[in-house]
Amino acid sequence: MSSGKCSPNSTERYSSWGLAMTIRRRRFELRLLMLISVLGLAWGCAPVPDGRVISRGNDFIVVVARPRDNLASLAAEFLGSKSKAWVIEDFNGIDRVTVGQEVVIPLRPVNRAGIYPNGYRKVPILTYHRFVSPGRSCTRLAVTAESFTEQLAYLRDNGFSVIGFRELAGFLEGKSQIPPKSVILTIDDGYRSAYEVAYPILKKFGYRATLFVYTDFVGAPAGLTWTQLKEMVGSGLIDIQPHSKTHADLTKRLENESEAAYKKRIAKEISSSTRDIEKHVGVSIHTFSYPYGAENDTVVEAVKAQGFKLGATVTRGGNPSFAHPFVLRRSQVYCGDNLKVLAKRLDHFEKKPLR
Amino acid sequence: MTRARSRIPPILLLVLFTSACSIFPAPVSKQGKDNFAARRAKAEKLTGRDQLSAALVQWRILETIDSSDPAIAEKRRSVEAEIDRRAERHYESGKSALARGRYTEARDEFLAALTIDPSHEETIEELRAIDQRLVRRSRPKMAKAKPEAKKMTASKTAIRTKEKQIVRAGGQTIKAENSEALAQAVALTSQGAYLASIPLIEKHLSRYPEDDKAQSLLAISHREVGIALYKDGRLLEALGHLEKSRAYANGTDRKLSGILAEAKSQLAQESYDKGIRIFSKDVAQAIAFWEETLSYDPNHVKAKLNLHNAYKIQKNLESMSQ
Repeated sequence: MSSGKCSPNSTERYSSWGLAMTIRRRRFELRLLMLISVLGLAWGCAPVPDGRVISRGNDFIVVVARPRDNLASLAAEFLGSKSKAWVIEDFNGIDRVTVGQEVVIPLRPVNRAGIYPNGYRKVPILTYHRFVSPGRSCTRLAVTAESFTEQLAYLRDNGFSVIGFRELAGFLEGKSQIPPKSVILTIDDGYRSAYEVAYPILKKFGYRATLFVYTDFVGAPAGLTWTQLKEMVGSGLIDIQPHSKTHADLTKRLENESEAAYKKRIAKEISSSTRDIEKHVGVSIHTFSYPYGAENDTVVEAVKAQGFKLGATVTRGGNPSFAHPFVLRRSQVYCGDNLKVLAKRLDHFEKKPLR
Repeated sequence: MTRARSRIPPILLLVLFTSACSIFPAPVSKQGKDNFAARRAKAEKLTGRDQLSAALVQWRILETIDSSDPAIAEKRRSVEAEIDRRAERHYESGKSALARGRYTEARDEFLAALTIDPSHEETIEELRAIDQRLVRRSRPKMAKAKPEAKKMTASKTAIRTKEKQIVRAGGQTIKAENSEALAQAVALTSQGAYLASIPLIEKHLSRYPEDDKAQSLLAISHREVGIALYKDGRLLEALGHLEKSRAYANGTDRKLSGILAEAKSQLAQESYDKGIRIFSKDVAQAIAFWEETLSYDPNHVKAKLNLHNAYKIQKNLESMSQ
């Protein structure tokens, strides 16, 4: 019976065992609490690594705009350049971002062809020849300084983006997107007035232009000099590309000229002008402008064979993404063309139901 | 033992913390959930409306946001498959129209294919070929000049070289009157030999492009040749010269504009009539003629109407033969 009684020793033993159990239970509860806290914290940290990126894939980044965000800052951060703000603007159909707004940033061209159910995008290319100084009257292919200034102001005020042929080549190849209202400015032949009249105006607006020069004309009384061409290229605004050597119509075969001799003559017209431009100005060659805009299969093949990416005619109209790269359309600007006429030449979207 | 136990938990907790950070799903805010639901509804709506290209973009964005939802991935795949199927169908219709010489219809089919699938390479190539054709058709044709006028003699080359040397050496301006080519051209035009004068004036202008007098002379020569050809009934050749004349003319020449419009109108009417004559025998050929009519006169109402009907008839004939 003695076993039924609690001895002082056994009581002591039981109370120390109970204390140990209590401590263990407390420790367990504490650890459980800490574990839950850690998991809770982890759940909070996982999704938004930098606090605003909802998700990031190969094609898109989805972000929530924060107080200091704007289109340019998002473009700089996620697309590598502020100048690509239009990509975000165009894709989301917005002209600014507001705090808390979900913004999708496309990392690859989404509609590279610029074709929509209601029509397709086109890139107009304007072609000028000569310019006349302020106060002087114009002739058919010579535009006054006042008109040229007015036309560039029109581009600026109506949201046009002046791009170059490299961007156009990327668009045609489906490698890159271009701003919705893109336009290219070109000046043919290489008259001195391109330097004396047009260049200062282009600098004022910060617009780029491509000069197509026929090299026999360089150094002629009314023509540009290599020094002037080099100076313009140095500004980063002007690109120089070939327009043949003699400005002969390359589609015309001479009397008694054999096929082989004709091809050789064309090849020389292209290669000689290309070589001279590379040698004197140091630019890389990518676009050929056909004299009189005249081309045929032989001429196009010769231009392709010499490594050109694009060829420009003077057939009026804009260039969609599916334009033939060696017969690009260009619209000539004439003396007396008012802004209404210019607006027609700048048509950048062909409305056409396509479904 | 107690010390060892007390050291384990912080390490364990750190491991748990870091692994949980990468394993746990995103806590989606209410705003985020609403945006997601709205985008999903938009994707469904676009899919239902057959705006597949736009729908695919939305499904891809949804997949970027929630890659774990198999329903979204499945929707995206099904839209992609439908896009492929429809783009291919339009592409084949375009090829078929092209084979029958129906360029306008072919172009429309190819554009429809590209609207659905903007990256359809074969379609882009076909459209480029049609585009090249259109550019070349829009370009004014240039008439052949007389062979004699094209020959450059050794003496002329010598004169040209000499002039160039003078210009380069002293920066002296050579007057256009001293140009051998222009002098010959002026003599030819005074004798009424306008066609022969053209290459000589062009040659002169390649060296003195700012010579307004030479430009005016070239405009006159082209105009006179154009008028002669027009009177002779050689409308296509006339059109080429008249267009060139307009390009070089200083100011508006009403007479020229009138003849140009007349030549275009006559060419349009000629091809329209050809289409009418052949329509009962060969619908495809008639379509080609009426398309040509529109290239000369885009506002030719009868050609537009006939084309519209001819396309329908052609389609019915095809379905009947199948």
